[in-house]
Amino acid sequence: MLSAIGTPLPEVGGPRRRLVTRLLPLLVIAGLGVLGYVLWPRQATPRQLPPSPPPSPQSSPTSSGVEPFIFSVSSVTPIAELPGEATSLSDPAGTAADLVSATLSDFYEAAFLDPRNWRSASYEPAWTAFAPQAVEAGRLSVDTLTAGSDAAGRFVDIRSVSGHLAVEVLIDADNQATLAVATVHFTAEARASDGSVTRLGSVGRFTLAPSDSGWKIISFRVDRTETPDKTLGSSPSTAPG
Amino acid sequence: MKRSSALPLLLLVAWVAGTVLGAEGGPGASAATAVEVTRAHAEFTPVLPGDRTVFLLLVGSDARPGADMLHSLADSIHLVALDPGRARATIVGIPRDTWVEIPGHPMNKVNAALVEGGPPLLVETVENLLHVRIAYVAVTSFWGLPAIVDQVGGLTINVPCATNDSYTRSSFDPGRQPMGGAHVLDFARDRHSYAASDLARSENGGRVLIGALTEFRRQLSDDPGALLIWLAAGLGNVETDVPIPELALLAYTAAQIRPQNVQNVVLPGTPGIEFSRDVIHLSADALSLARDLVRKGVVSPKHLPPSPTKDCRP
Repeated sequence: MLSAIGTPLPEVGGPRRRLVTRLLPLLVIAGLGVLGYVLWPRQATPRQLPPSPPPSPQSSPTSSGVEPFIFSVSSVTPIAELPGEATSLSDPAGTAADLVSATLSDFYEAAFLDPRNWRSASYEPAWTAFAPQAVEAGRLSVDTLTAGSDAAGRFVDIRSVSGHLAVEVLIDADNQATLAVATVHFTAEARASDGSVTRLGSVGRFTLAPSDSGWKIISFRVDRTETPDKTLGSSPSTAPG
Repeated sequence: MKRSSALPLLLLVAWVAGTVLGAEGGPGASAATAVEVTRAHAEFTPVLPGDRTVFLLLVGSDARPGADMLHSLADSIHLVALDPGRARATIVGIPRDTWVEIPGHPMNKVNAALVEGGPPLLVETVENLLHVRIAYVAVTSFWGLPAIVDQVGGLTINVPCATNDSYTRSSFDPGRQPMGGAHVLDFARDRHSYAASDLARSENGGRVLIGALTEFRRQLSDDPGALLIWLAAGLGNVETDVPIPELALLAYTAAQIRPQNVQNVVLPGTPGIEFSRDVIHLSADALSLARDLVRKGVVSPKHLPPSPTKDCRP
């Protein structure tokens, strides 16, 4: 079929035939256009994250400019040493999940939302969520775990969009929560000075253990995405936080 | 311009036009926009310091339900040397009939140390025998091992020989075999299918540990939450005084070790008789092997004993 396009067709028919002959290249071009649109490789779309409850509370930034942020806990799964015990362990697991959520909420707030941190490219307050042996690893992964060391030059405002986590809690024989693994989905919108918006996504698996100063991150596996969001770029901008 | 020469240009224009029109083409099209997504990944798991070899003693007690697991005969004894710095390990099977000095007691088989003084005396006995310092000890039982295996979803074990054990009424084909808890126990207990008897059984115990390491690494790679499942399975079926944070650290350290970087050896020895009992007298190579572990974290080739299962019983 393609080879026929470049071959002059004999004008042997009437006006109707000639019209078809003249329109054929245009039809082919249009067809190729549609084909190009369909086949052109596309990355994940901006709205790839599943719907999640909004982080709560949705309040205005505080006087310090920090947007308070708390993860919504979507599920808590107790894991007991002995099968069948899990259903009776919801209390310690639930308490642990609240503490885990508090630690991770503080971390994401410090890592993405607190303008004092991302504007200064210093995320030291974020590392208080980490156990001592994990702090250096956190620092070394700063551009994956936070808004980034170059956020100040790129954004004028960062707001949370959604944040929820699921927690699995290991309960020992004394009915104490001893270890937890949290799966975190976090999304924020970062606005540049020209009004363009970038969606920051973070999906993390964090292992936490209790310490004298609360539950601390001892291990992490985090994937971070940045997606230019053209649909949001045309929306009214909010005041810089 | 001839049509034929215009064709590539038309194609190019059509392709670009189609793409651009698709990207900007009205309501709803933006959701399918070709956008550049920047991705990054970071991960960290803590591991033990890499400057020294860490020794663990893993014990299978032959206690039956109702008996004291910590003061019964030790049916299987494995010393595991973790070398975190080089991400490798050595499993050393200690035959249960090994004739040893038990501190504060007459010479006896090593498995009697658990009866006489529980895990502390067994640890002391092995430390004196091989001149190592054991950091951790864990004891499980006949019912504990299969329970652990079942809770983690089964293991795949590399069976060295075709077996047919009339005592456990089990048989296995050689090669990688998926097994549930009961089959793993049968495989680990079988000594009648092998000419090397208890030495072969001891090596097969190491194969079970390698199968567990393989499965743990696979599950942890897929899901960090697998750590909790494995710890729960272990804690519910193993006696140990290791705090959970240290267990997690050990588990993370083990997960760094590829199964092909694990040596599985059995202390070399010769059969003998002591007080009318069948025993194994360790050879001098056993101490050389242990010295290698302390100094290098691995057994050097010249001290590697032959595999007890290299010649399968027909």
